[in-house]
Amino acid sequence: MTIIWTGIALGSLYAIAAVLYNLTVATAGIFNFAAAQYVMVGVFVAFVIQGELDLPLILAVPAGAAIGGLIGWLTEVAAVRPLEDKTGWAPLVTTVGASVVIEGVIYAIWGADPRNVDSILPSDSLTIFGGRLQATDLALIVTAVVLCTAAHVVHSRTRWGLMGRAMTNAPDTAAIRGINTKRLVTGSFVLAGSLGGASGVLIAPKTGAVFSLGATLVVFAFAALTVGGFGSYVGCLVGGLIVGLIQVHTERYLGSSYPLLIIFGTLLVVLLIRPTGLFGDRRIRLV
Amino acid sequence: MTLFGSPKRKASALGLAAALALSACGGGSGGDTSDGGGGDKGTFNFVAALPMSGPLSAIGGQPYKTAFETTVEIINKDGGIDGKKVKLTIIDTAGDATKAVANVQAYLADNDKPDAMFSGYSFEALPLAPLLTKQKIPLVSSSVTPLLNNPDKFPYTFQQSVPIRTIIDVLSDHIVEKGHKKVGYIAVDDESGHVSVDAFKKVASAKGLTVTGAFVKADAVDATSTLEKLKASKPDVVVVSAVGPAAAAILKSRTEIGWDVPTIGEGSAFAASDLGKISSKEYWGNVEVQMPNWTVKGSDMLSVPAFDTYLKDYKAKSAITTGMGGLVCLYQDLLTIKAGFEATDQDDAEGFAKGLEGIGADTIPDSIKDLWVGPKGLGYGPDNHDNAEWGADDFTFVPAQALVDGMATADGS
Amino acid sequence: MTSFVYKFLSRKDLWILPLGLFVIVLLLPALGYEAGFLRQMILISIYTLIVAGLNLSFGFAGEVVLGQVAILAFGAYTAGILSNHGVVDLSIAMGLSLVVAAVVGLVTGLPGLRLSHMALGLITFFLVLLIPPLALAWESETGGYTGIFGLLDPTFFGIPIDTDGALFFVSALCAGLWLIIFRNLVLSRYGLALRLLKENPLLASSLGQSVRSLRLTAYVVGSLPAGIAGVLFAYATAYVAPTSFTLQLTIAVLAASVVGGAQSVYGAVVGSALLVLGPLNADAFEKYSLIVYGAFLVLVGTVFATGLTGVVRNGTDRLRRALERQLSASDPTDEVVGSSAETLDLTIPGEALTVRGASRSFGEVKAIADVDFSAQPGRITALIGANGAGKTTLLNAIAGAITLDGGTVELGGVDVSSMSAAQRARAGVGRTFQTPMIPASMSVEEVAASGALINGGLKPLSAILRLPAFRRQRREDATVARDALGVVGLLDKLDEPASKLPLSTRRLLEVVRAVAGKPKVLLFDEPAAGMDDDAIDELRALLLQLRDAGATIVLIEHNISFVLGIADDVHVMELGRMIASGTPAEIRADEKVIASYLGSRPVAPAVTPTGGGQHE
Repeated sequence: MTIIWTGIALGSLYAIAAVLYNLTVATAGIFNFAAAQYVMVGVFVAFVIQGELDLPLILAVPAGAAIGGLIGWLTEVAAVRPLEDKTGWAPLVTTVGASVVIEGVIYAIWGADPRNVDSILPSDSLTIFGGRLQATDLALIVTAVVLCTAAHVVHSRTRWGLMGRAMTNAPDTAAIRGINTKRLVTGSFVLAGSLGGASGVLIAPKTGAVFSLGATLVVFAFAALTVGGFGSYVGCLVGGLIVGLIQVHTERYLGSSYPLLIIFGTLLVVLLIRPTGLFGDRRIRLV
Repeated sequence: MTLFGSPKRKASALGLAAALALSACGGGSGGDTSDGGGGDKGTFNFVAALPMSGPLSAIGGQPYKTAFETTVEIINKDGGIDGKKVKLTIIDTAGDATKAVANVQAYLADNDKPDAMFSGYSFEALPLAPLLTKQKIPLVSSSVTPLLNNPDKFPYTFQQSVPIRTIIDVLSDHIVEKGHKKVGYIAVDDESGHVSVDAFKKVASAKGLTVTGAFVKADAVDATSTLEKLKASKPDVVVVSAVGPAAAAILKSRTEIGWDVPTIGEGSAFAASDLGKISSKEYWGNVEVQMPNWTVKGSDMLSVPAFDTYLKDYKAKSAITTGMGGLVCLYQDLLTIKAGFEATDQDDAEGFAKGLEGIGADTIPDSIKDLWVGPKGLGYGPDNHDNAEWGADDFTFVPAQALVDGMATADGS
Repeated sequence: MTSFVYKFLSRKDLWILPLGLFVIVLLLPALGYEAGFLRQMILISIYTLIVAGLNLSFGFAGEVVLGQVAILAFGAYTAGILSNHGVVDLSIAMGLSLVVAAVVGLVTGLPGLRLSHMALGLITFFLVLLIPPLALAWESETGGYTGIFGLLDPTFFGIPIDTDGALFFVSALCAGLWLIIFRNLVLSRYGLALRLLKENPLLASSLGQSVRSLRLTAYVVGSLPAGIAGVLFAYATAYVAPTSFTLQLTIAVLAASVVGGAQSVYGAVVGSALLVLGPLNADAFEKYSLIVYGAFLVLVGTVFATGLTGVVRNGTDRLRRALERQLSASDPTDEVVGSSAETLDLTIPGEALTVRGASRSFGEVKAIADVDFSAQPGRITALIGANGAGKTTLLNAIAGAITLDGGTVELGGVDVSSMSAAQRARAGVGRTFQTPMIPASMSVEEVAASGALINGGLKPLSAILRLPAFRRQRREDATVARDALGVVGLLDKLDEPASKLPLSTRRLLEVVRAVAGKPKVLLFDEPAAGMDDDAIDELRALLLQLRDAGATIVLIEHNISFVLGIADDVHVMELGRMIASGTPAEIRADEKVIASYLGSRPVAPAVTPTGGGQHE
């Protein structure tokens, strides 16, 4: 059972990262490669607040949200807005560029060593259903579930979500209907940045602050998003959990060299059976 | 994984960085030369291939460049090598084998042949060795791969670091001594990790130990599943051979699953990490580290005037930001080159090799005796290009602790 | 001077320039360049090969397979493993790695037959991450994580390659030869077919191309150069290990492709050179190199989103056209080509089309139910009805774009019901689309020439070698294209980018394309939609001319006055059923039609000689 909890906690981490990717995919039809870096930034904000400034870790929530949001906004302004055609592969190149810049800045300041961040929650292990997990892990799981559910409700029930869906399906028509598509695109980047930045406070105690975190997350978050289906926040959660559980079980029973092989195999099977992923919105086409 | 440098590459990079700490020495930067001043008999061109850029640069870049600069100054003050002033040139490898080979080949094609070269990481030294052998350039490496200790194939390549087999030997003896029978061995899933596990399995089974191996990714954020796998084999001691994020994740996950098994950090990889930076005290219960004495403050190896001089000169240039082992190793590397060249009158790769091979066990030649910091001899021979002088006396098993000035203390205080 | 520049830019034999440059580059080592420089050039050659493969499959065919670096790894391991077994000849390694690359390219591309572009693209983007576990799984040959090292001193057809200069020569030779193959391939019927595929698979199949085999060949051909590059890479770095094949390399290759212009041949060189000489040398910035590299990607990605070669091409085109205007203004007699529509001797022998009992449902909705329909040669058969009446479904069923649940389609007495869209196109079904499908990259002449693809094969090998058969075919296609364009007076726009034309011209061009191959039946889906009156007149003239030439024409149209003025037979559909058939006069008088369709929408006043259209 412990291993299942581990998989769920890890999957929740992937789910949160997948939500950041899905925000711009579902709202603006753009795969923002840099999204996982917002989590990495958030984790470093947590480290600086606790490790360098000796402030209460909880301050990392507003600070992470502000800094992450700013970086999300900068990503959009620098790497996406200047593009005439936002649907081709140019955004992949430019957002990869943004991702490398973010990683590079953190690396230039803090180097490659990971830094430890202590949780604000008690560090005792809990035993639930016969498996052990940390309070931090539990918080992470709860956060992922709440975040995905909330995002799903917003996306499917509110005006903002409606505008986003209108835009990904038919940007021209959406613009004609008076939807401010530009603000919507920018908003999705800022929101992804803020959420990523704020989530650092929960993720840092689990992963430590290390500059390569974003690059690690992107692969698994992408897998989670694809299995779950582009455009679906429920898909993010389900996809994240599937990927997390596959990973830990492969590591446990086969060895650490093989999770990626198995995950990509699963991905392929899911896509061949359901090309849109488990919960995907078939109208979303990035290319 | 990181974008700049594949997951794998960083993995092995960091793993090796670990390996380096103990064995490692590194350092300098692209086309950077520090001239030791004009000598009477010309200059001795020493070229070091170091990852000045890329994910390894913080560990194996600038700190190691400073180490070589310090060493070059000390040697030049002492008369240089073969009476020639040493000139240090640094080629950037970017922590990438492909670039290492390209940059070194380009350097060799456009410059005079260097008198000797250095490469730290095995994933760089391995591809470079055939190239340098072909051009008859002596190579001293601080890497620990057994593949480079091959005098037939690489007659001018020597490794000056703690040989992995010595580490394994001492470690397994220590485990037997403590009465353990079943060992769980957890390593980073990269080249050095696999080398380490394979070597340990071989040695340990000869000593009656049963070994279960397991690997974690170099960038793992959670090692729970791998530890669960290991736990299922019910070992009575766990050996950890990992650095950086992986080392931190293993210690953390071990505490989280409540597994208070005696745990030993292996002397090459794990000993390179400064736990104070990457981990938290609460995860260090029942953990000891096999420290080579060049990282242990006050050990016999470091209690020589030459070390005080080196440390003082180094600190005059820069603060200590990495494990002392790596810095001492680099110092040894250049001294080893000096010893080899001054042991014979023959002024080329063959002379160097013959010189080092002929020094003999338990001997530090007079040419470097006063400068030497390290084991009690340069134990090379025609069939062995690892320094065989390392032994049980050169290690201390210390409690897990934060490093101060790059050094641990025997009792962890 | 202007006239010289103009003539120069208009020359068709400008290929001599890159070829000359290639020869000069090959001679570089002889000029005593430094090894450092030659090493960079080797890398550029290797990148060029990889990027050129990507440009073919991704840029030209629109198939987003980004697994090039994984294929590079397979090529490199092929060389390494051969060398372990004592085989160090580059030619043998390359031959074998071509086979390996083809297989890997095919296997990794296969999911693309089913997946969306995005999914295939992102999956193959991460493909390179699977190299380490694969290498580990076959450790005995690959050396696991340690890799294979000591790859020095290969031979090439027995000749020792022991200097940087020699290795550079071989690398540049391979890259250059591949570019020639690549160029010859894309400037051929095969290249046209790939670009049709990129625009829309429906379009490619409507012009007789099997989408499946086009895709599969694109995956294979696009992978081949990466396999060759792998062999060169192995010997250039003297080392093959999983750590050499990174996501970063994938990104660099993608960036080089985008920067150079994915849909270009020489863009591969430009992009590769820029990446190798620029950001990949960002090491000089030491710990800031990541920032510099990332900033470079953002900068070039935003500035050169269409690719450098695109920028250059647009520039020279603009210059050429400006010069053209200037020249024709100063010298009105120097008219380049006639622009007025010509009446040519045109015969298009049509065949009778018969549809019996056609039915097709989408879910619960019966799009067409038990429809009978026929069209005769030398007549224009119109199909009208409200939106959603099933007209386009019927058209698609005739063309084979969708399959019928029941019923048959016969062309000239032959049952074509079981044929695919591509087979039907080859059997003589030509069509246009409701939304014109004009590939963005094609010139007007190329669009027209692509219509000829329904006759004859693609013959890629003949194109690569520029055999006499290829030249003959090219002349024929050009004649077909020009004849067809002459009919609508587009001969003066031969070299213009077709997608930039006004909508009505694009619709005319689609008709031209459908006609070029002289199919036995022509299906036109709302060709007049969005056209102004002048264009409609032109279209009318064209349709009548085609009819008189003997063509079987099926016309879907909402412009009632236009359609009733031109049609010989009219069929009216409603909710998937045929409710009336007859001459225009009969239809106008049909109570049911007036009630259900004509009466329900205002009809534009008649402007046609036959009048009509005042139906209320």
